[in-house]
Parts: sequence; C-alpha cells; structure tokens
Amino acid sequence: MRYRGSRGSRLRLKSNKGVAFIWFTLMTLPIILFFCALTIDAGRIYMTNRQAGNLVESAALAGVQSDVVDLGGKFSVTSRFEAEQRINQMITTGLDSNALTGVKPNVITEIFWGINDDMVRVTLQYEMSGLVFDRLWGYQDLNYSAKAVGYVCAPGDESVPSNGYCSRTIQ
Amino acid sequence: MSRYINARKRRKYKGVQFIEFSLILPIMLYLMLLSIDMGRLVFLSGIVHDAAFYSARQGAIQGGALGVSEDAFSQAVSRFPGSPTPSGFTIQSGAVCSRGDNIVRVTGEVETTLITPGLRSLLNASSTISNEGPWRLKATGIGYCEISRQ
Repeated sequence: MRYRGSRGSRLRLKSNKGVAFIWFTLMTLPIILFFCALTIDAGRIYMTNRQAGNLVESAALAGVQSDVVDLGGKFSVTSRFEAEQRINQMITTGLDSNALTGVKPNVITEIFWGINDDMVRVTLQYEMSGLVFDRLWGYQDLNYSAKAVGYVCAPGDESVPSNGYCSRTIQ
Repeated sequence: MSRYINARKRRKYKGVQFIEFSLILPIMLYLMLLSIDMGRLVFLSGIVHDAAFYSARQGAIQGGALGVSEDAFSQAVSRFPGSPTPSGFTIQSGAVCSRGDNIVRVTGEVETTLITPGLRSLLNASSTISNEGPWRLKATGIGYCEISRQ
C-alpha cells in the first residue's frame, strides 16, 4: 500500500504553497535591480571616460601646435605658457560645449612637459555625478582620469608615435 | 517530497510549470530586449562621440569645418554595424579657421530605432522630447585649428 502521508503533513504542504514563489521574488528582484544599476553605472563611467579621452587628446594636440623652434633637427614649443593657455582653452571650450557630460564641475587639468619641451602629457581628473550607487558605495569619492600625449613632430613627418598624437602641419 | 504526492495530485498540477513559464517569459524577453537596446545605445553613443571629434579634427587640419567635417562625420558613423543614419550636423565655430576663430566646434547627431517597447518614454522621463519617431544621439567634438606659421 502506497504511503499517502498523514493529514498533518498534507496540511503543512498546503499551507506552504506559494511561499517559494515569494521567496524567489524577494531574493531575485534585489539582485536583478543591483545588476541593472551596476550596468548603468558602468556604462556611464565608460562613456564619460571615452568623452574625456577625446577631449584631452584634442587639448594635447592643441598644446603641441604652438609655435615651434628648431633645435638642430629636434623641435620643441617656443612658449610653454602659450601652449598651456591653448590646452586650458580647449578643456574649457569642451566643458562649456558639453563635450564631456555627467561630471562634477571640479575638473582638474594636469600638464606635464617632456625634457626638451617636445612632448606634452595632459591629464584630466574628474568626478562623476548622478551615479546610481553614489551614496551606497561612495563612488563620489573616486577620481577618474583620462590622459593623452602630444608630440611636436618634425615638419613633414606625419608618423604618429604609438603612444601619443602628433601635430602635423607645423612649419 | 514529491513521491508522497499521489497520481491524482500530480495530474492536478500538470501544466503548472508551463503556465508559470508563460507568465515569466514576457518579463524575461523584455529584460533581454532592454539589455540589447541599452548596449546598442552605449556603443552607438561612443561611435557618435568619436565621429564628432574625428570630424572636428579633420576640419582643424583642413583649415575649417566647412565642407570637410560633415563628410568626415558621415564616414566615421558609417563604420558602425548597421550603419545608423546621420540626422544632423552643426558647425558651432571654426567654419573657416582664422586667428580669432581658431577652435573647430561641431555637433553631430545620429538617429536609431529602439526595439524595446516603452524604453523611449523611460529614457525621456525627465525631458520634453517627443515620444514618437527614432531616438537621437548627439555629440560635440572640438579641434584646434592647425594654422601654419611661417
């Protein structure tokens, strides 16, 4: 004879009906929402970094397009001051025209020159605003940065160094 | 536990899984479409930004954004799989490079169709953009005019 279970166990089974579904929903929904928020944040961070990369690249190129001086086959910018003015002008124009979106206004620009003033490295430091996990994870304390290197190239030399960008029409 | 359930009860619950699955299927499909669309938007947005900067750079090299940049923008965008349609291009400054106007600033726009129902209104929640028609992505690019100096 097949065991059909006591009356008590049948009642317990009946009373537990649907509980698994509620548990499943309660457990999975926050996880799904967590990953949705994470994906949106990651996408925004990636996009902003890409925009910042483009902006800083333009700024570095503008820097090495200053007037140049020929030092026996090697070329360098005549005036660092003028070059840095251009770099800052490009960054400001980019920020004003929304070429970089979703960042807080406290953007920091760092400029580093090579020994012979023939290379400039521009670093843009920024903080993201409006991330989903801003308050939860302390993302607002994180600094993001993008950097680009610009070289003063010899006239006619259009070969772009692998680790940077080259100003092309300096004469 | 299931071995204690008799055949009659098993018959009673037959097909429940199918009904539950059919309930969850639309949600799963919606999430799938949503992730596809969001991925496309992020990717396309990157392409539009790169294209805007590329066209500004081309304009800066050629001595002005007029004529050069729009072609450069269309070319850059056409590299994207599915070839999205450039729907607008504006030169904000540096149409012709000069001492007083030495920054080429252009804005390019691309339109794409969203496949997820309702995503458009979700994305437009805080804006006044119409919920009809394709989705438009806009990006601004800048470049410094390469004016030759003697």
